[in-house]
This record gives sequence, C-alpha cells and structure tokens, in this order.
Amino acid sequence: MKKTLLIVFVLLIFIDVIWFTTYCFVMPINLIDEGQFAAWANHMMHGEKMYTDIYITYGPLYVYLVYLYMKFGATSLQGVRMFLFILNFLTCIPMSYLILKNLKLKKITILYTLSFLFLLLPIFSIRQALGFFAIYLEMKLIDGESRIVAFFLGIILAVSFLFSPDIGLYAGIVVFVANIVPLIFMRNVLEHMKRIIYVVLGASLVGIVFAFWAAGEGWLSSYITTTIDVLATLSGTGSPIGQNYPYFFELIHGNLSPILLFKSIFSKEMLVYWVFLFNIIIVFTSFYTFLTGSINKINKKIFLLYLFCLILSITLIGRNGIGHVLFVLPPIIIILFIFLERLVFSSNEKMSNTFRLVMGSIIIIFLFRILLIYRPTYFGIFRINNILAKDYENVNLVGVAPVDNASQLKELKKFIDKQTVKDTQIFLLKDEPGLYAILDRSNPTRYDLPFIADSLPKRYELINQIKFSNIKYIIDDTLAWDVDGISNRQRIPELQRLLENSFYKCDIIGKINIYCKK
Amino acid sequence: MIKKVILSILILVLFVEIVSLVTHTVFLPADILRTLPSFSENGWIKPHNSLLSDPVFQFEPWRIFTKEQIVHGDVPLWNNLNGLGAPFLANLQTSMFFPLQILYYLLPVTWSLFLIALFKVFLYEYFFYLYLRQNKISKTVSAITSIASFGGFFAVWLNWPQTNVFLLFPLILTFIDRYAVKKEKKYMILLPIVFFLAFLGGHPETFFLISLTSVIYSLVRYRRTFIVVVTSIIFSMFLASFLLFPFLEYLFNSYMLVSRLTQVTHQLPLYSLVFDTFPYLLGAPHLSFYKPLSDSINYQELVGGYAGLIAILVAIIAIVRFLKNEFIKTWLIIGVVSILVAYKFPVIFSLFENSIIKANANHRMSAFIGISTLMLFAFGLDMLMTVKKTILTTKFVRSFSLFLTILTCLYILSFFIPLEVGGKYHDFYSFLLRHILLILFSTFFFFLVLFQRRRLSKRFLVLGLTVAFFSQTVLFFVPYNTFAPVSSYYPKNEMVEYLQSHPGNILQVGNPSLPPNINMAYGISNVQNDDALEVASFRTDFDNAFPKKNLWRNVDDVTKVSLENFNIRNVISDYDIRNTKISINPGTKDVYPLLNNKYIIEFTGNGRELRQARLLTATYNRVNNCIVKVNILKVSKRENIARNTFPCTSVYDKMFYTLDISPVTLKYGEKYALEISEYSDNVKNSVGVVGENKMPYLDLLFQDDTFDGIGSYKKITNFYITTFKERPLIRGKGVSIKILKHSPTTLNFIASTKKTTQVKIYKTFYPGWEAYINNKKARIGSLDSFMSINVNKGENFVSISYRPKSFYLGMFVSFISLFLLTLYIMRTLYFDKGNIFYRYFSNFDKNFRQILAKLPLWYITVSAVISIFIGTLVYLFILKILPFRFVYNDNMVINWFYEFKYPKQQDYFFYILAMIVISIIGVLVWLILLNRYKKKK
Repeated sequence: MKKTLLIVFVLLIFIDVIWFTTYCFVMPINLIDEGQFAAWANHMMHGEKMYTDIYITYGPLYVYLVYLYMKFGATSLQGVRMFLFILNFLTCIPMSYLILKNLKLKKITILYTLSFLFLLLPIFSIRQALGFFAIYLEMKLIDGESRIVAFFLGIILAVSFLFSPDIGLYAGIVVFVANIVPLIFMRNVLEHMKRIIYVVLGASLVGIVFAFWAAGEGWLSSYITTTIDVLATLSGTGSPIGQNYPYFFELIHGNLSPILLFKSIFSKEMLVYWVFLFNIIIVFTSFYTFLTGSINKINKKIFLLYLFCLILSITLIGRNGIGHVLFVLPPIIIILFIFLERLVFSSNEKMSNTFRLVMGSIIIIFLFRILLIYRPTYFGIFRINNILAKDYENVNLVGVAPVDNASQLKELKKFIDKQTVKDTQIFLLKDEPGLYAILDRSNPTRYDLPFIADSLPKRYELINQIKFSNIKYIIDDTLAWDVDGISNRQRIPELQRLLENSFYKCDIIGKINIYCKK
Repeated sequence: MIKKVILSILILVLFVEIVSLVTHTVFLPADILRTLPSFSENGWIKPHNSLLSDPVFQFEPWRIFTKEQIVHGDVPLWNNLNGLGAPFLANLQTSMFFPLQILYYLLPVTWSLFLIALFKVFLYEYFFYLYLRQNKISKTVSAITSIASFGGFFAVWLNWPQTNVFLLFPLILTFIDRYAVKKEKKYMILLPIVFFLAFLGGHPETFFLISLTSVIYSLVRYRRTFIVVVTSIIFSMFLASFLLFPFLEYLFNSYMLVSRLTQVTHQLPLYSLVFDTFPYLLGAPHLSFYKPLSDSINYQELVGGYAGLIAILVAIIAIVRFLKNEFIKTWLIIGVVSILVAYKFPVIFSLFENSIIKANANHRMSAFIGISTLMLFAFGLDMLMTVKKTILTTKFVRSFSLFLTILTCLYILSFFIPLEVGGKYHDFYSFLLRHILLILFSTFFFFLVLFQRRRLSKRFLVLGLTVAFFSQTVLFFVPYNTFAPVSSYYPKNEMVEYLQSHPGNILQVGNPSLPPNINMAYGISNVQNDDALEVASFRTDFDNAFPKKNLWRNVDDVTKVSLENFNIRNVISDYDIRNTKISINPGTKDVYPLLNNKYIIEFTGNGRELRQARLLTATYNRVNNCIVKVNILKVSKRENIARNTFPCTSVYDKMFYTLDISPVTLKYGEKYALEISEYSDNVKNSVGVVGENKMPYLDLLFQDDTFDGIGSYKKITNFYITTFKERPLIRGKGVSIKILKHSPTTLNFIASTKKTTQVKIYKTFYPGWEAYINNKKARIGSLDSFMSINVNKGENFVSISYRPKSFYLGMFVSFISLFLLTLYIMRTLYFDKGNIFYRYFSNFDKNFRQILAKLPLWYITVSAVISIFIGTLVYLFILKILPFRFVYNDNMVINWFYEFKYPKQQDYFFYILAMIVISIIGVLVWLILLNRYKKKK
C-alpha cells in the first residue's frame, strides 16, 4: 500500500511540475486576470489609493499582497502569475487537506482528491481557500472545540471577506447557519451563544484593525461604498458582466441524434446543468441522511460543504462561462471524492458491486470530463522547447512568458516611453489592465476595466475623470477581447462621443489606435 | 382530506373560470365609473351601488400599479403618478403584502378579484365558526351564525382593506381561548403571526380596533392572558416593521394627521343606532332609494353594527337569562364599550373630543357591536334550543300576529290610498313599510319556529330558523356588491386617449372627471392624490395655490401662475377655463325641484362679454326625460337676450352643467336675470337645481385673454381640456437638462451649465430621496414643496433615487423578528414532545427508517432519478401555465442584458423556482415510490 501511495505521489509531483511549467512559462500572459492585479499594484506604486482612485472588485488584502510583492520583488506580469500560483498552491492544498482529514477520510482518498485539485489548481484560488478554512474551523467547533477556535473563526471570516467579499459572504452564511441551527436543538443555549459571541469578537477585532488601517490611509468610506456596489451590481440587471443562464433545449440543439445528444450533454456549456443537477442530488442526499437519522458529526460537517456548494453555485446565475463553472467546482470535487470513498470502502451489505461500479463510473466520468477541459494545458508542455528556443520579443515587465501580439506591445511600449514621462496619464479603451503595468503609466479614472463602468453614474464618473485630467493618450487595442461580446464603445457611448469630440487619432501601432487630445 | 381540499380548489377555480368566461364580468363595481360625466358620454347611468367608489377609484388602480412594478422587478415604494409623487408602500391601504393579493399578481383580473372576495368571506365565516365551536356552541347554531356574520360590516366593506384585517378577528379570539384553556405554547406563536397577517391586511385603524378589542376580551374573560395578547400585538409590530416604519414616517409627514386633529371626533349620532335594527330606513345605495344621514355619514357607516332584529332580541334574552356566564358577560362588555366608542354619548364624546383618540375612526367600532350581538345571539339560541320549558305564551303569539296583520293591511292600502304625507315620497314609504314588515315578519316567524321546536322535526326547525334569520341578514347584503361587465373595467375613451397622447400632469377642475387615483390605471399623472394620508407640505401648498374648492372638494378656479407652479399640463374642466368665472350665487345647501317652478336669479352687467353660465343640477338619483330651459333677460325691458335648452339626460347628480351662450356683452350697471324652468310631464321625470336660500347656484363666465396663445384647447363631450405646452420636470436658470431615465423611484438626468446653479425638480420633497452627482453624494434641498439640487459648472450626471431608510431599517427589524420567531417555533417543535408536529414527524421518521432498512440501494437510487425527472416535468409544467414573466426593466446599464433586452430577474426567478419545485416535488414522489416498494413486498 505504501509503495503504491509513493508511486502515485511521485507521479503526481511529476505532473504538477509539468503543470506549473506550462502554466507559468508556456501559457500566454493574461492581461485581464493577473493583469488587473499588476495594474492595481502599479497604480498604488504611483501613489494612488485603493478604492478611492482605483475601482477594485476584490478585497483589499488580496490586492495589497500583490502590491507588496511587486514593491519588493516582482518586476513582471509573469512574476505576478507565479506569485498568485504559489499563493494558491500554498493555501488551497493545505486547506483542502485539513478539511479532508477532519472528515476522517482514508489517506488514499485524501491523496487522490488533493491530486485532482492540484491538477486544477488555477481554478482554485486563495479566495476559496479562505472560505474552506472558515468551514474547517467550523468543523473543529462541531468536534467540540470552543472559544479560541470560535474567536479564530471570526478572524478568518473577516479576513476572507477582506480578500474576497463574495466568498467571505458565502462562508459567513455557512457559518451563520451552522451556528444558528444548534440554537434549535440545544438545551443549553447560553453556552452556544457564548461561542457565537467569540466568533463575532474575532471578526470585530479584524474589522477594527482594518478600519484603522483603511481610515488612516483615507480609503475606508470608498472601500465601503465600492464593496456594496460590487456586491449589489453583481446581481440583477445592473450586473456589469453576465449573460443569461443557457436555455437547456437550445443546448441540446433540439436534435435527438445520439452522437449530437452525447456531445451536447458532455459539452462545456452543459456543465452548468451538471452543477444544478448536483445541487438537487445534494438536497436528496441531505434529506436521505435526515430521514435515516444518521445525523452524526461527520454528516454535519459534510452538510457544511453541501451548503457552501449550494451558495457558491448561485454565482452561475450571474455569469456561467466555463471559468465560473470551474470557480464553483472545488467543493463539488471534494464531495464527489467523499461519495467515491463511500462507494469503494463502505462495508454496507446493501451496496452491491454493480451499484458501486455504476455510481463510481458516473462520478469518474464527470471528473474526467472536467480534467479534459484543461487538456490544452497538459499538451502545452510539448511546446516548451519551442518557447525556450524561440528568441521571442520580450516585452518589458512581462517576463519570459509569451504574450499575445508581443511585437505590437513592444512598439507601443517604445512609443509611450518616448512620448511621455512617468507621471503622464493614459487611458486604455479595452479591458487590458495589464498594459498599465507594462507601460508603467497611471489611469486618470478609477476604472482599469472600463466594462465595469457600464452603469450611468459610473460612466459619467469615468467621463468626468477623463475630461478634467491631464490625459495624453487614449489607447484602443482593436485586437483585444470584448467582454461578453459587447465592446466598450457600446457600453460607454459617452466615451465614444468624447473620443469623437475631444480626441483625434494621432498614431497607429499595428492594430492599436492611439488617440490624442484635440 | 388533502385530496378533498385539492379537488375543492380545482372545482372552485374551474367554476370561477366558467363564470368569468360566460358572463365576461369582473367582481368590481366598475360600473360606478359611468357615473362620471367623463365616462358616460351618452348621459348619466345609474350605478349598481353609488357608494362603492373607493374600490374602483383607489384600491384597484393601486393593485394595477403594484403588479406593474413587481413585473418590472421593482419594489413599489413610490407613487410617481399622483400628487407629483407620494410614498406608495407606506400607504398601507394598498395591502400589497396581504397573502390573498398573491392571487391578483398571478391570475387574470376576472378570476382574481372574485377569488379574493370569495376567500375573504369563506375564511371569515370559517373562523367565526371555529370560534363558536371553541366555545361549545352546537354545530348547527355555529353554522347559522357564522354564515349570517357576512351581513352588516363585512358585506358593506367587502372590497375594502378593513375586511382583510377584520376577517382574522374571530381567529384571534379562537387562539386566545385555546391558549387560555390549554396553555399550549403554539398559540403563543400563532397569535403574533395572525396579528401580523392582520397588519398586512392594510388598515391600521381597523388593526388598532381589533387589537384593542382583543385586549379587552382577554382581560375581561381570562384576566392574565391579556399579557400574552399585548405581547403578541407588540411582536407582530416588530414583524411588520418593514411596513410600519415607512407608514409612521408617512403619517407624521401627512396632511391627514393635521386635518384629523382639527376635526371633530369620528362618532355616530346616538339615534343612528336604529339603523342596526332597520338598515333601510333611509334606503340603501344598491336599491331604488337612498339618502345619506349626513355629508359624512353614509349607509356603510350606519349599518356597521347590524346583526338583525332577531339577533338583538335573542341577545337580550341571553343577557337577561344567562348574565352570570363568562361568555355573555364578556361580549356584553365588548358590546357596551363598542357602543360608547362608536356613538356620541354626552360625557364620553367630550372626552374623545379633547384627546388624540379623536383622530381614529372610532365610529368603525360599530363593527364590534354587530359581532357582539351575533356572539350573544349564538349563545342565546344554543341555550334556548336546549331549554325544555316553553317560553312563548299564546297571548304573545296572538298580539304579535295582530300587530303584523295591521302592518300588512297598511302596506296593501298604501298601493290604493295616496299617502299625502309623503307626496312624491309615496314610493319610498311603501318600500319602507315593506322593509319593516319583512323584518318584523321574519322575526315573528323565527320565534314562532323556535318556541314550537318540540313540535317540529329537527330538519324543519333548522330550516325555519335559518330562513328567518338569513332573510334579515344574508339576504339584505348579498346584492350589495356586484359584478360589472369587463367592458366597464377602466375603458379607454376619447379623453383617456387624448391625455395619454399628451403626457404631463393633469388637474380636474369643477366636476370630477378623472379623480385621483383612477389615473394610475391608465398610467396618467394627476397633480392630486387621494391616498387618505397625502404629503402635508405638498397638500398645504396646493391648497394655497388653488384655494377655491367646490362641493366635490375639487379645484374650482385656476390661475396661470398656480398651474405653472405645479407643473400642470392638462386641465380638465366642465367650463372653459379661458373665461373668467364670476360667482353670482355660491350656495349649495339645498336642492330645489324644477317641476312647476321657475327660478330667477338677478345680476348686474359688468361691461364684459358673457360666454357661459354654470348651474349645479340634481337628478334625484334617477334617469329623467325632460328639458331644462334657460333664458337671460334684461330686467328693465323684460327683453330676452339669450336662451338655451338642454335635455335632462345630460345632467348629473349634484354636478355642474355649463351652458354655452351666444356671446353677448352685458352693459355696465344694467340689471339682468337668468331664468331656469323645465318642460316635464311628471314628478318622476324631473330634475332639480342645487342652491341656497331658494336661489339656484350660478356662475357666469366672461371672455378673458389671460390664457390666450399659451395652450391648445379641446372639447370632448361635456369636458373642456386645456393643454399647455410640455412643461419640463426639471428647471434651472441657464441649465440645459436631458432626462435619461424617469421611473417611480429614480430620476437620472444630465444637467449642463456654465456656473453652479440650483435646479428645481417638480417632485415632492420627502425624506428618503438621495441624490448623486457624477457618482458622488449630493444634498437635496426643498424649494416650495419640491426638491432642488445644486449642479456644478460643466456636464453633470445627476441620479436621484428613493431609498427610504425607514423601509430598510424596518426590513432589518422584520428580518430579525422573523428569525427569532422561526427559531422559537423550531425549538418549540423540537422540545415540546406533546406537539402534534413532533409526534407526526417522529412516527414518520421511525416508520421510514424501517422501510429504508429493507430497501435495496439500487431501488432508492433509481427511484430518486425518476423523482427528479418527475419534479423537472412538474416544474416545466408550472412554467408553462404560470403567466408571471418579468418585463425588461430599462435601466442605467448597457451590457449584454441591455443589448438583448433580457430581464436578469427572470433567471433568478427560474433558478430558485426550479430548486424549490424539483426538490419538493421530487422528494415527495421519492417518498411515495419508496413506500410503494414496501407495500408490494
């Protein structure tokens, strides 16, 4: 057994090294994902304040970590990517391990689950990890630990919120439910109330420290209003991003041909319905557990994961691209491995081998389908030679990783360096915040991702900030991706008007148009 | 049992569908709209019931507005269509959260209005029955009394929110009794929930009255239980905070509070108690004859305490014979207190007059007189039916028979002998006699049957008592409410179409044409509001700007400045407002018949050109076929200078009739006279004129040039609509404004200016409005009763939205209260092992575990898959039949949803509905399948 484990472990380490190499050296740098963090940190290095001068959709701690890293270490976007990768790796895997261990799963299951999560590491960020950590601490409380753990749970909840408001909120709901339900069944309510007070105290402590820090730096009120805005606009029609939930009958193309039907069912788009089905299964499983009266500690803990999974899945109503499907997958994967373990190791006599085989196969097919999404990444390792051998046009501040349209960016960088000084302000019309970091220039508006400023108040805020600034250029990279297929010229027609009335096209670099003030 | 209930509901829905399809009617007295000159182009039409205006003028337009807002995915917080804006959610009478209103939101109006009324009556009678049964009244007597309880207060206010609240009163009493007797915790939980539902009913005054009566009831009957009742009321207030806080905010900013505190107390004259025995003494609005007791006391107020003579007599017997009984004592005290509060008693009246209580509608306490009488009746009848000895003597039967015979003879004679005392009221006296006779006869019959009970079979006894009792309760009130043809449900006529095509605020002048809030049904904005509260600052300014009001309390005179100040675009008036109106005789106290009478009103010439004359006519609440003749003559020469006639069918009761006159200049200082007379053949075809001191009301309208060239003018049948050029909603000196979005709760605009300037927004200034300029918070000031804001140099994006703190704070308190209540309920269910729910679930759980133990896993899994599939099919079916679809809400965002006009709320709705339906239906089917397997085995 030990030998097998060792072999599996070595194999996985090997795969993970491949994964890290491919992800950090072969995959092109993403000017939105790591780009936005780099841009925000870059602005902060230019003396701008979080939230007040920059509209940040994440929590301040998350951004501040990248800022510190860039201030004291990183000089490239690749560096930011590696930093985030390592940060995710260092938090996600231990958090998952703690949860799996607390659930008293067999070592082999823990190993397989961790390996699987590791294979999907980029989808599993420190944001979810902190949510998991809060759940882990709640599990410890179910085990009977009290006070200090409760106090620490409060701290982690607050920290989680300060990393990512949505995950912090979801984890908060799970903890809230987990602490409220015992109030129904416990005779000694006072003892439990004390524990709740400790949680509140822990959260308050972080809240107070944070409030002093944010107020000291002068962005507390901006943080509050921006965070409320972020949470509110990510629901309903005010959502800056999002498309409607895919229509099931459109996904299967109304075609009953077995091959097409099979393809549709296993398509990436159909994964949202897989997740929905999984949620329904969770409801049934919980009900079954409740009816069979097997509400033991382990099942209570699993129920926490169910709840987290149900709440996290709501994200898919707002935005349901593959990226967000992957975002909600980690708790599902953990739960699926728990199911798998029960199928394989359960001594329940009622569970026939056929049953184990059929159910296990369904789970494995689902997991395998998820893995397939990342097949280009695994095959990317075979391109490493080309990448290393290629004398590619390295763009300053990108690192040794490739970046799309590199020559064009290099030209742009040269142009900006020549025509402007460090405190010159530029504005990027497309959603490529990473360019601010590459070009090392600041943005006169709060919006590095202009598509977020698609509501009228924000549009006018953006327009006014451009109007009353000393902006020199507006840069429009025509090759860049339009979020949800809606261009920023459509989203912000006032900006289009401003371009027409107050700017003119003064240069063209490849497919990049440069506008100057009239 | 469940099958029966489902079947009954299905049959009921089917029945309603068939009724609405066959009759093409709606359960709303919408025919009352046709009493307005603006909706009856071909002359006046008598409505079924002239008092049922509020449901049509207010409640239904409010419901339409609420549904529209919900479909747009908004919470209806603000009414932007009346009074230049007023709180809407804070107006409790909209009852938008009352559970039965859900039917309105989900079903077509032809179904929902009838179903809501039906459920209200059914629930009220059922709760009444429950209460009587709780007090050990026999099933027969309980059933008779509960059905008869529909008469009086409940019937006349059926379409009002008062009955939403009142229908829960017997249920509250039942729970108080059960708690007092059994001391079970669940009634402590149920009581605040029922009080909360009563609050959602939407009538705070009735809520106050039922709360007060419940406290009195518990205090008198059970002493200590009243603490539980008081606590329940307080807790229900916490639960309802999301409505209570905005309501209190509105109340303290309302015109109503100020005006009510300066009025005399709302109490009924003592002598009007007689209407609780004989409700048709002044006729009734749904019958041929009707006259209100006074301007402020109409039929609905008078019969609130009605329970019928039979009930009163049985109640008296019960009091006399069983006074020591706690039940009798309690209801006697409640009855007496109700009479003291509802009616004017010398000492108590002055006490009320000098306290804040006078602001409450105390006269509605009469409802509790009716309910007390019925309770005493039920107890008395139950006792009398079980008493062995005969009470009624032969002597009594004989004298009562003789009395009835005399009355019958009088009634028959009234057809042959003219009752000179009445003259033209002859028909009314016959009607009155018939009415009194019916009451007396049915009373006699009732007692006759009751006291001969030992000689009658039980079936006949019950039938006899029921017929007699119902003939003076249910029979009187069933025809009170009515269906109306769908065609009369807010029809679109020429005036409405014209106003919709000329958007802007309207003002009705003179006759009622489009009274507030009917305009909400058409999406037209009216500068006036009639939600019973009204924003004080706005109303005061409005009254100052338009000080002259007529007998309809409508504006009667306008000036150019006041119209401009209130941003009014369309003025609908019975006279041409371009003329100057001079009042010759303003009195409106009396009605003078025109038949065989000629009225001459003298006036002096002023050197101006006379264009129109305005009279105030009366139709005696009937359609008349006659001709009215009007002459204007010079007094000195008896020379006719103008004449005109008009048919009586074109006049309306107590409404102005404006007569066009061929323009004639009246010489300065010369004496003139206006002569009014009538061509008619009989008393039933004659109209009258309203006036005072034997002089008819008269206004003369002379040519004026004040309004010349500033608006267009249109005459639609009997109305003049003056339309001014479109007035901007936002104005500021040197500021150019572009409105981007204008919804009830949001106003977004771009203000461009060369220097910092104040702009005035013609929306009522009220707490809760917030402003942002270029995404930064700004202060809203008040200018007159409107909002104002300072805009900076350059282009400013201004966003003003209504986000009442009272509502959000209330939501928070309600949520916490609901949370604590749920927690308490769950704990009680868990720990209270005597609880029925607990027992049910623990037995279920035990049985189920045994079943599960025997079932193979493959069966459990396959049946779960089948259940999910069935749950999904049910969900798809619900989606297919549920007409509820969100409308794309044009908002401030340009994104994917905006480009494809897709309402995002739809996804949330579908997702949550799918989770709920598939989970619940799936689990239920699963349980059935698992159970079936066990049975097969």
